[in-house]
Amino acid sequence: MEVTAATRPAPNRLLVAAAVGAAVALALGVYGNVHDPSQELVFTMFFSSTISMKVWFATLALAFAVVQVTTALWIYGKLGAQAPDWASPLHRISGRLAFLSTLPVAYHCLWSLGFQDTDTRVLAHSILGCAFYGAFAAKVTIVRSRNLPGWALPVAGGLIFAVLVVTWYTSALWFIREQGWPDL
Amino acid sequence: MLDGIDKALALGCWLTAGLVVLMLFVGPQVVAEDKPLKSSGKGQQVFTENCGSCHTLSRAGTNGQVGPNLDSVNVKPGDVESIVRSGSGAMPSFEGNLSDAEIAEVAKFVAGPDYTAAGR
Repeated sequence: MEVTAATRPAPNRLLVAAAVGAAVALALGVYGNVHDPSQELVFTMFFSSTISMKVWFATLALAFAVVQVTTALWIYGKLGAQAPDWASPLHRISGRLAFLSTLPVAYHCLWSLGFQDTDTRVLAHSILGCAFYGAFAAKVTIVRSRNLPGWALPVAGGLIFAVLVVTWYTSALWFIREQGWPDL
Repeated sequence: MLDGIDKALALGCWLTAGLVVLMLFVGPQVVAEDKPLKSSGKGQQVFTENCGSCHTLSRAGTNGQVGPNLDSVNVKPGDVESIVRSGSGAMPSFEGNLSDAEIAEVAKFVAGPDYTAAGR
């Protein structure tokens, strides 16, 4: 009998998702390490400085992620009241907006700074930044897979949220504690 | 309505992510072209005024003894910028004291004139 994605045992599909996530994280880490960071590229979009853009976008991503986790809990019935119909699209929209908000930050980090290990915080941030997109890729793979254990998606979602929080903690929050909120 | 926004955002996510990946690879050709990073001369001034009392760097004519001798280290501009921004050991952070442009200039100056985007 032919083994298709639909008939493949769930553990195998979970391994595929984990492998996809690991590959994405590893690829970003390798790129950040072998790419020679250029200080020539400094884009601010509509913010006053690059660092301001990164702090605000990272914080915006975290805010959207909080909305996504909250709506997920609501959908899974963990908040008591039954979730309304608009909770599901709001959950997906907040996740997409969180992801989009991270992209300008990640691009500047990878292109202009690269993978760095100058101290523990910077090393942790470099690793977690790569891990975030790995976790994201794994979660997308899980969302698109069928017949997985019920715990797979909440675990993947929780993992990606936790990685985002710590990534933000080691960058944007560190900056805010050191320098205060940057001007828009 | 929310479903329509969701579908549009889904497409936007894929397109934006693809664009970012593309720019990560073609960016060096489009933006930097592996040219030597040029410093306008401002970097030396920033270095002399803010770093020279602690660091030796013959190109700047400084002989500070508190921090590492920068004549004997091999660093990338990005590494220098990170250290200048966040500090390291006894060295304080200069984030806020120096502008982004000044930090970028001093980072290029410390990395040296021979540094190229395709180099070390």
